[in-house]
Amino acid sequence: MTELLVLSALGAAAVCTGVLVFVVDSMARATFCLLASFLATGAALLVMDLHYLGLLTILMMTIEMAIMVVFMIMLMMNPAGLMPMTMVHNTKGSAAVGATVFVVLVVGIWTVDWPERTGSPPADPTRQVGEAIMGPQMLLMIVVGVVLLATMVAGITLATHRGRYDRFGPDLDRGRPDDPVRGGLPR
Amino acid sequence: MGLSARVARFSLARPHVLVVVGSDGRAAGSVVESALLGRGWPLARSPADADLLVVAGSPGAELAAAVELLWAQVPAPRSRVHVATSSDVEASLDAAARHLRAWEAQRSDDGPDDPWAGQGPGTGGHQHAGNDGSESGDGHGGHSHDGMDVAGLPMASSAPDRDGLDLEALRVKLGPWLPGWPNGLVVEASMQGDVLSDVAVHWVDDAHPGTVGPQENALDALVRLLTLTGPAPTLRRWRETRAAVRQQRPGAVAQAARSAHRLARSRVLAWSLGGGPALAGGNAADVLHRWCDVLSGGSPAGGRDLVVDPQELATALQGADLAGARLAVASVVVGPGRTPAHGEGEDGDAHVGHAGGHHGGGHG
Amino acid sequence: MTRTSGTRAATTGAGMADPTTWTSVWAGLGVVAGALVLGLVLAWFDAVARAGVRVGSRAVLVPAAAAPVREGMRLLLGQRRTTVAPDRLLRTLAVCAVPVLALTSAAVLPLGGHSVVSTSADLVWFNAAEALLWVAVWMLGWAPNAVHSLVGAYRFLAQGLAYELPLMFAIITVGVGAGSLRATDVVAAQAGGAWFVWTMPVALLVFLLGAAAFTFWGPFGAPAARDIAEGVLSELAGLDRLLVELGRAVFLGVASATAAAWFLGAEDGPVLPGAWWYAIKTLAVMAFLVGVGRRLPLVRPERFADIAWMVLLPLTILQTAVVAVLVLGGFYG
Repeated sequence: MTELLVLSALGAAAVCTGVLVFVVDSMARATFCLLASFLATGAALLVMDLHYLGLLTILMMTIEMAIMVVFMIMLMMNPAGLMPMTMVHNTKGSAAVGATVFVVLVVGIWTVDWPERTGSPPADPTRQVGEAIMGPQMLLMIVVGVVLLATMVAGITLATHRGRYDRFGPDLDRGRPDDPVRGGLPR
Repeated sequence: MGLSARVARFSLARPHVLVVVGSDGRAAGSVVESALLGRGWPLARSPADADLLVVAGSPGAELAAAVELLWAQVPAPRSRVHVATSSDVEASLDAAARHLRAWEAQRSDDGPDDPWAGQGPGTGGHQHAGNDGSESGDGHGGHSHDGMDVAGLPMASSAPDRDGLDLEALRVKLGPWLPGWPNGLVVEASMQGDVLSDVAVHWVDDAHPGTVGPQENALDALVRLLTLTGPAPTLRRWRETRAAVRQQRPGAVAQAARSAHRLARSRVLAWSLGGGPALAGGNAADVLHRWCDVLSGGSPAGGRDLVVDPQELATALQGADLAGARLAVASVVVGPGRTPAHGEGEDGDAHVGHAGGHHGGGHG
Repeated sequence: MTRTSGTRAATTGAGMADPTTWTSVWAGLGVVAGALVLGLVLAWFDAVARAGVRVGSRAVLVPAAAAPVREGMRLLLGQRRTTVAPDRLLRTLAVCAVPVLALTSAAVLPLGGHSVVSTSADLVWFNAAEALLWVAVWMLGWAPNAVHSLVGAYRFLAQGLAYELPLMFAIITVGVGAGSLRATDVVAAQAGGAWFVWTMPVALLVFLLGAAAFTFWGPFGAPAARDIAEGVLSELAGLDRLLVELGRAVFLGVASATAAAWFLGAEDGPVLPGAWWYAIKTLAVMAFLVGVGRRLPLVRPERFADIAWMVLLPLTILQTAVVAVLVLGGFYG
């Protein structure tokens, strides 16, 4: 019973902070409302005894939001949300999309024939997750991992302003790359 | 003595001291420095960290305004003292410490009501890039133009930057006081991220603090650099060495030479200082090495090649990041320069109001 | 894997289950007190190391040892301050989050085969508490609306991008060696002198380096360095500063104790009672951390990023691989 109450409270918190993302008027606050929503979701997983998944959600989302906030704000030198700005754009279109998705999901939840639970939860769900991922799905995970890495490398290559010719010269014969900021290794 | 008085006496027994040295305050500043070392009072790293504000020498109008701004940022319990000559340092420090520890008396001076009241726009470190800063001083309510100020602070506007991005640029002022910073130097620049551009350099009140011998220059530069990079025990030893040399204690110079020889060999320190912009023919690590040579007597030029012109400094800082720029400034000795390097007030940039950009840019 | 998790998991209950509410409350208070002691001891070590004293020079040692208490009282009595147009909400959140996260990380410290919070993923718990610090420190630097403070915040994230992956691999290595992510299992796996440090020295060093980096302490102090007038701390005074400084010290102290548990076998050792061993190991880790850290100059994030990605990351991956091979060979029993 207590668990159910905590779970409902966390669910409500996740939804409310999610809504707040579009209510607050600063980029930083919007980002951290989104993070709060993720944290509530992670905490809900913890309450369900899915420790690894819950903590992983918290860990990954925190770092992700911290990176995102940099990208959202690094173009602006006006900290502390000095310039209030609206967090919603194209309100009518997004409201329509949101409502449609909501209806589809609700209909799905109530009409899908969910399977009954058989057996009992394992003592260490972390191990179960590991075995599920690293056992039958191993090939898939390896492929996904490589694809993600390739996407990141390709994305950076496409986005970067300076290529190797800028760094190493037209004939790529410079000993040290010509970078505005030197790294810590002698290269 | 009541409990609160006892507590105040204990907790403020080693107040953090922020020392501002005027252009004629070098001698007094040196005595303050050795007095602080002797008493074990740490130097404040920011106004928020300070308990005691010590002004050595007699500041001119611009520096006085900066001192007021610094004072406005020091939280209570706090005390300030003006040391005009080197003879009354110890007595002044004692008096300030007594005032500081008189906890009950401090209750009446609850510090600045609003630490920023009346400081005007720019206290948060904001000024328009390329703006003439003319709205300086019109207080919090001063929404003077184009609806772009919030809480009296002008907004940063975007400009192309070093890396080909269109980032917002903020006009900031570094100095005249910062930790590990030459006394009285002011660097004004546009900052995008932490990259500086449009750099202008001048001496506060257009008064150069006067030239000293190569040894003193070398010791100052080493202490400045170690202030920025540490390690803490090394910094402490070099501050003591400098104090000993200044007081002409027997053997101090030889001791400094030996320490310099050791410092020059530290590869970790050289690595830590490296990578910044080149100034006086090398980055901060190279310059440190050459100052060490000056101290150990192995430099024919005697450090004259490490004195740079303000204009030269401004050029070197162009496109440098803040950390690199701070190291570069700390490493060299900045000379008076033939003319003030910032254009004699023609472009309006020369005398951007004192209230503007002190705080975030350079803490006064 | 030669071992099942069942036997070890039996040492602690599942989830946050302590039999009664009162036991949980006392355990919670115990963790807070223990974590504060750890923070204070670490601060003492630090103050002595900063003063640069040789052992035995009592004239400097005694005042240095009083420094943490003195500084704490000074901040407690001092006035708090604000800036023009700050984001008050985020500042308050950040100032509270730093010490709270430090205490949170202490909740999974194993002690006598138990920890206050025992999840099946304690190692990730510690990691998550440390990652949340990214957000807390960034908010701390953002909220005052001041340049140096903001630069400090960005430096912290840049540093985070450098240390985080090596740190994660170091933590994962522990989990691989123990065959479990539960802190008590990790300690149990090292019983009888089979301390992980013998096979995971790189992981231990990287863990300590990461701890110094996420508390932006010592050579990794760039986010609060003097060149930006203390950066993220530059606008904090009084209670606000006390909470943040306390949080940093506690976090580093807890990380030292965690290192003693994860790599040095916690209570494991001959003759002396287990608690003594645990304390001795924790103090040794602190002395090592502070003794080395305070001798090194500042490492700027852009210098460190190169080292972290080009040297530390391959090293830690290699470390994990070596441990994985040892596990497959049945080395850890």
